[in-house]
Amino acid sequence: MSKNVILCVDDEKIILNSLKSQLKREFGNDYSYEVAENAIDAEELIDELVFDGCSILIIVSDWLMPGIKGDEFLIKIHKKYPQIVKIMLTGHATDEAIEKAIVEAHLLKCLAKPWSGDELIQTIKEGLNKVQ
Amino acid sequence: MKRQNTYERDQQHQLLSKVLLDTINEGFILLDEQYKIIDCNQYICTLLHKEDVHSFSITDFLSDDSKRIFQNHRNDLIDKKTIEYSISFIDSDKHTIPCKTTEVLVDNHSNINAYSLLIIGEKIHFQDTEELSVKCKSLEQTVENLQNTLMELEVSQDNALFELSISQNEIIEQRDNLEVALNDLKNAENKISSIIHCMPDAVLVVDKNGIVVAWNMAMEKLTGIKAIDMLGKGDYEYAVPFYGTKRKILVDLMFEPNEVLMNTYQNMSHDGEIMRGEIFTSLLGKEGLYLQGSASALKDMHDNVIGAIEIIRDITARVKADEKILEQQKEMATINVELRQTMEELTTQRDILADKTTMLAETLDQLEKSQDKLIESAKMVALGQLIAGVAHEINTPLGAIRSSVSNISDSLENVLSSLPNFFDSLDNNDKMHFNSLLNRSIKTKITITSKEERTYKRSIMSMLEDEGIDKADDYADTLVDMGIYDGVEDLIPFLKSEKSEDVLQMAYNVSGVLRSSRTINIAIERASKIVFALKNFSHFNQTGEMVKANIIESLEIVLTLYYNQIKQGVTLIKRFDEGVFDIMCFPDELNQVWTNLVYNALQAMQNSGTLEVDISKNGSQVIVAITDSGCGIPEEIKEKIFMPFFTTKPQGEGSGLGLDIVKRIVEKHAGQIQFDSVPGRTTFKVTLPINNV
Repeated sequence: MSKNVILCVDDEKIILNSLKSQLKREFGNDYSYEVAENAIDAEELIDELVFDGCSILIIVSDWLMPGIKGDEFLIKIHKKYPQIVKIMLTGHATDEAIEKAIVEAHLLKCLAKPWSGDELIQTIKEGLNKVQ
Repeated sequence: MKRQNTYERDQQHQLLSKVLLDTINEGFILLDEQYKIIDCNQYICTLLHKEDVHSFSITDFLSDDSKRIFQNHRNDLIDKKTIEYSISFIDSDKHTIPCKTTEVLVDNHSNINAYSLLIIGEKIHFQDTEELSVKCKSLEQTVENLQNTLMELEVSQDNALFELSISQNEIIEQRDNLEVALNDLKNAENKISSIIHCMPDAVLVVDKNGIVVAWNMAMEKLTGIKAIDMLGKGDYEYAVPFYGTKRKILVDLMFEPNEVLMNTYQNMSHDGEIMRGEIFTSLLGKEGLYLQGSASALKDMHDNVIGAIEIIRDITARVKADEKILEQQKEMATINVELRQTMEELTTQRDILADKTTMLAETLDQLEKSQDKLIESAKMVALGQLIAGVAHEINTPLGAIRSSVSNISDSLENVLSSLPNFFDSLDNNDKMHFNSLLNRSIKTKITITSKEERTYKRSIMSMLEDEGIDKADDYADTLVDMGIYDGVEDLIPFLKSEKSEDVLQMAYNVSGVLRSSRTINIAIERASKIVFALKNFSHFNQTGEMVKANIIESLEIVLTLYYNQIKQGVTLIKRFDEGVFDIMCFPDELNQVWTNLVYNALQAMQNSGTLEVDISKNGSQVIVAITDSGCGIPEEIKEKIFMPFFTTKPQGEGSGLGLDIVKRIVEKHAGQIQFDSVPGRTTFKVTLPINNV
């Protein structure tokens, strides 16, 4: 059986673990929570999940990552999967990068680290409302 | 009528002769072969204090000695044509007048019976008793001569009367008269011509109709035109040699005033009746001549102008000399001005130089001061490059902490409220599984990547699905989250049991508190490390003295700051020799060295490859080698990489100061920096002295 997926991309394992715990606690087993530590892994995973018949609803991505930065990653994914809701969660991003992601990846929101749990959940819910 | 005309002409020419001769400021005496005075000018009359000297012998006016001198020069004159000597004249007051005299043999003397021309120059002044006695003798002689002359005159008069009385025929008389008149005329003309001809200055005489009546030898010489070709010509022909065209010249001003013509002459002046003016003509001489003309009108007794004379003198040498002096004066003035300007310029330049020297000294001073500042500011640049990473590095653990704290509180809230009831509902078997799951979860440390986790999850999921367990996906995910990757097959009976979902969920929740705590710990450790590194990195050494510091720690700080960039895609190999690596150094400055070298290495590899850091000891030296597996330094820029402002990065990205600063800092530590680069392996080796810690 295939589930609807929320994907988190961050180069920090501790962030991914925390995020996943938070989402799982909020939404339980209604969704499948996938994580990736960089943009390349994330892209592979998305293609894989889609191949397996999963629906990716939301991507929460960091900006400053080795290799491909968050805005570029989200723009690339947006070209392939425009229906996925994109959210940025970052400790540091340039204004240009955020602006670019909003225009070219239809970014829903950019959340700053350290983030508030409520804000994160509200944003995810907002995103889910859009795609469901 | 005819006779009347001839007479007039005769008279006119006699007048002309007189005026002409009187114009000249020298004495002229025309003598026949017998030393008789044929004619003389006013100058001679004045000199001898005698109104009329005609038909006197020249010897009548000479001292005895001078008579001998005069006679002795006869042969010389015939040979040389022109001779000079000094003779003394005796005037009517018996005064002796010594004069320099030039005697010129008259060529055409046969026509006018003139034999020679005496040109009397300046008087020679001297007085002595001998002269006085000579004067007395001369006086006696003169008286005697006068008596003789008187007698001769009486004889002549008698003869003339006799001749007249015997002339009966009027026609013959007329004819004779005519002949005499013509002869006189001819004589007069010839006399003038002769005098003028021999004058040392060039002379032009025209009559009132502008016809050339005299063009002397000197003029011939000056103009190259023979008298024979010029005499009798009018219509301003005489101007041609000077101006190349027929026009009015100075002599024409004697007939009518002409302002325009006058203005063509330089240095115009009037000296009584004589008018002087200067011109330059390029037609004469090798390079042209400056000529001074002196013109005078010739007038008859009624003051009517009957002709004019112009004496032309070559003043080229004088003008040239004047010009040269003027030129030299001008040059001197110019040189003077130039010198003053040069002096002023030199003064200005000296002032400017003094200013510049002061400025340079100040600049040097500032440079020396700013070298330290530059190192500081380069440090800030390096820090600036790190800022993005640093913000991320600090916000990331903070995010993890905040999220984990909320997870813990949520978990605890959930667990604490339900735990008592939950335990009551469990049988012993379930309790055992709960404890087992909890223990396995607690013992696991987060060491595997998300990708590896996913692999585990898939294998567990497929295993559970094979066993026909519902929610295989959820179970697998929860197990992997809890850090339970293997030995899952042992759990299958439990997972198939009724309570498994609740037990697993509770174990996940309880262990979640622990995982969150661990995450918080890791995050705090990460954040403190970064703060520590930053503190060390930005440390300002206020004392300016070297302090003891550990090289390994120094490098670790920098590697920590770059952890974010290193951890993905870069394999870090650290090879540190055993032992203590304390050296005397400026630690904050060495941090800059490592920062630059590590940053460059990561850039060269584009954050993908192997970074090797080697620290070793060699006697009293510490060697730090940083090696990357990047593209290498192209051969053509190897010599330039330590040069200030040299950069391979696009404008605005790199200051080009990094390696320059690195080199300065290393040299400040009395160390060396070398590099070795081939594509795929570039090593920067820094050697530092330990400096007796």
